[in-house]
Amino acid sequence: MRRARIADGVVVALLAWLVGWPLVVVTGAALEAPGGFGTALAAFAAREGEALALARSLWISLATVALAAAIGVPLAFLFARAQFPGRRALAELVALPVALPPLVGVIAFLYLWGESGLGTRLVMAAGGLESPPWRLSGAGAILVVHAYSMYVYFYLFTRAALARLDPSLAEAAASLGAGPVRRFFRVTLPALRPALGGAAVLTFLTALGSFSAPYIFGGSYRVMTTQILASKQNGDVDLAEVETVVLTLLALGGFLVARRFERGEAASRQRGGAAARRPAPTRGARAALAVAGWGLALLLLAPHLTLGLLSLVPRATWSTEVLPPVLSLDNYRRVLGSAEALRPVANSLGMALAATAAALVLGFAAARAARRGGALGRAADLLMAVPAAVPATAFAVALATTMSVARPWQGRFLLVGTLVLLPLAYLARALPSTGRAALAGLAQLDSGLEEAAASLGAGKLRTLWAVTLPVVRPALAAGAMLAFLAALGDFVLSIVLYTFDTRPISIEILSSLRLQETGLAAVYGVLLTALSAAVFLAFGREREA
Amino acid sequence: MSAPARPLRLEGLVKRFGDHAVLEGVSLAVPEGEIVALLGPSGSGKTTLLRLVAGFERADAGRILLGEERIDELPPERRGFGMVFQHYALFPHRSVAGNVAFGLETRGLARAAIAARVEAALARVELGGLGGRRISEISGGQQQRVALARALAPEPPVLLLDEPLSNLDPSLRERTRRELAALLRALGITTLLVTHEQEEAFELGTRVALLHGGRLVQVGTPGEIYRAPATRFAAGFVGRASFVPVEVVAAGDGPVRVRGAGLPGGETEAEAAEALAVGERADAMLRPEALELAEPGTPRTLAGEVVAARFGGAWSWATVRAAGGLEVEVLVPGPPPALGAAVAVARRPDARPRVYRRETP
Ligand SMILES: Nc1ncnc2c1ncn2[C@@H]1O[C@H](COP(=O)(O)OP(=O)(O)OP(=O)(O)O)[C@@H](O)[C@H]1O
Ligand SMILES: [Mg+2]
Repeated sequence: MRRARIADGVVVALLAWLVGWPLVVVTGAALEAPGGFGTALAAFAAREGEALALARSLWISLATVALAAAIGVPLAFLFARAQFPGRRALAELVALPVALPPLVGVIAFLYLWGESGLGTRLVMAAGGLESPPWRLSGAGAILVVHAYSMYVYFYLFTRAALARLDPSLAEAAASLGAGPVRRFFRVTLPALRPALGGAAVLTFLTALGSFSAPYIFGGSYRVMTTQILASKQNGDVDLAEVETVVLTLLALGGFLVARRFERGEAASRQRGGAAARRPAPTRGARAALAVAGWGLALLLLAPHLTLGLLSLVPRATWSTEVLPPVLSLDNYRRVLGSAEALRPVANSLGMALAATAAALVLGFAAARAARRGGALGRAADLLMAVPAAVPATAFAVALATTMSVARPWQGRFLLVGTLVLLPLAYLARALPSTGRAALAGLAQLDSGLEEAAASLGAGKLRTLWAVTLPVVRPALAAGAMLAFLAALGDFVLSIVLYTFDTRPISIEILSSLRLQETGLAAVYGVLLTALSAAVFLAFGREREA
Repeated sequence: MSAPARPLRLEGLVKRFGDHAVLEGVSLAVPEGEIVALLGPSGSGKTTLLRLVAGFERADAGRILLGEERIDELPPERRGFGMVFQHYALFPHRSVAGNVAFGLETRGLARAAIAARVEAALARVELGGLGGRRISEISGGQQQRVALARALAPEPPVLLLDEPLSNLDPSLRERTRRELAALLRALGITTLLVTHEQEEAFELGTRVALLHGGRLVQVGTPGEIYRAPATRFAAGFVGRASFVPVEVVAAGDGPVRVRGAGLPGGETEAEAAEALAVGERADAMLRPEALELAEPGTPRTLAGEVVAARFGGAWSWATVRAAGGLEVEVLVPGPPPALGAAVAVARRPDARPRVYRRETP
């Protein structure tokens, strides 16, 4: 027992160094800004751009929540409740964007609805228009992209809650004389409230920390995340630090609210009774539902399909035509045939793999510590969750600030510009996924499996190897998958911390775009999407097995 | 079939969680080959005691001996006891056979030997042929038997069972109880079993140990405990009984004489469960079968009204409320009397009540 506690102490110290310390250092740096934090904050508040960016971040996040709910919740009802051909496959397909890297989604959106996007050209051709009917920039564009990518949270949360919902609740209400409308508002919706709350907080935090969409579409419309990067790239490090602290505090507030909701949700979790029985719809209704379902799914997945098409368009072959005149595998040849061009892919894979492996070990150790309880356990529980709360931009800046000087006795090392900083950041960001998964897996041991193993003569090592790990493996695999996908597709940490030697796929996509190599960017996007989808599906198979 | 049975002895076991004393000096011997059922209400410390024996908890004081060997210092995996957990704790990632094989693997047996013994263990609990199933693919009753087969396969010297039937449907419970009793007796394995159900303890245990508030109240055969419960708590917890307030009018070495307004038959000789002084207030325990119904107005009876009745076929139970609200339960032949009927309750001539000191008023 004492040895276990010592190990827990080491784990907590490591977590504190990796996750907590950078936030402390950046806060300290912000406090030490010339004239003190008060002055810096006052200067921050007085600058028009700053207050404006903060206000924009907030309202964009709130509006995103409303829009994402408006798409995700009806979609969940459609796929959970209606009966039509292809429903099961579509229901999974519609959830796919959760596994796809945000940057790729944003680029794909640009290729479809941007000024010279495929969809825009089709609309112009159909309407005989001279110029695009819209411009994809500013708040509107950010919001549309957010809604498009974040509806998945509402969709998944609501779908899961609907599946758990005991249908006898509604039946009981019906037997008490409540009609369908009343049942929906008085029974179903209240029962979904914890799930909706959870999805809302998650969406809010994601939107608050969202970087890709404002970076690509925002232009001069700055929100906090893009403002931080701009300050940093302008060399105004003090300001960047103050901004980081402000954004972090805001997000941590949301995070604490989220943990509340999570508890409420866990408490209200109920056992599903028999499956709901719904009358089979008429043929006409089935057809209408099928059209609606397929149409929606197509609309939601259209950007990624466009990306696939654009990856086949060779450089400088598509000018004013509605549809690309030439399609070839030229771009693929240029990427796959060159070691130099494949370098970012290898970088991303290698760093993601290393970060995931390390995050698995650390997350598992942290989860074990958390389950042993006490002050150390609570510290481990909190620390491993923190990276989920802090916007990636803010965390990256904090890490860069901390690791930009060599003061080993302060736990600060000169890592900026080295190969390890970016994987280290990926590792920190992966901890909430792996740690939480390990916690969920370990909870399965509550029924005394480890004690059963001991009563059958298994020692500590054998129990770990033959019982604990196999039992928690599926949960760990799920956590590892999420961690790996996030690291593989990461853009936000990377753009702050990458070096030429560690440049990942996302950065290569961006540079290709800057060089007008839309086809190459699309190929990298497709590769990233294919890798992500392959991991996602492989894991899905594992889950079935 | 099992390893040579050895007696298990617990001596003065004390266990505290913080400043909450859960076991306050429990001593108990489980002779070799006997099945001791540890019976007690919820929170009395049964599971805690079993976990001390299994080695999942350390006692704050006391010793545990297997034969002549002191084992309370050993970790659970070195004790070699078989244990059936309340929720079975079957390994979800292993098949039925894989679960049963686990304890044999840890003993380093050869593969062929393991396979043969797994087969035998499964056949013994009538699960032959189900070895390849996943745990999630078998019913609750089957899971219970897998748990039993897994615990028995390594042929442990002692078997520990924590509420082995509590997770089964009532209809299944009775049959499983019978089968379990037959199996345990056939194996002749030293067994310590925890339950909070009297019927389970009485059918499975060759002896019953009654635990209350972290202390052993009484250890004996089911008959001894039913006929002569050692304390007022034991009397109320085991079997059905009514308690009538009485006063001690004569006391000596042997039986005492008691008197009470609610006592059918008036003043009578009674067995004292503990030392009682003249004038002391006490409770007389009356089992339903010690009472009978009589015509209203019969002398030396307690008059009352039937307030509840339970039909039981050849016999029925009637609850009679007398003046002052005192209620007694009576076993009656045939169907019960109608609710509201005015009746009189008499004591059967051969039945001598047992009296206990009255606990706080
Ligand atoms: N790990 C623990 N920490 C603190 N208190 C505990 C712990 N385990 C048990 N207790 C307390 O010890 C007392 C006895 O618990 P135990 O589980 O042994 O009772 P039990 O007789 O098995 O009850 P039940 O029939 O409900 O299973 C209870 O009051 C319980 O709250
Ligand atoms: Mg118990």
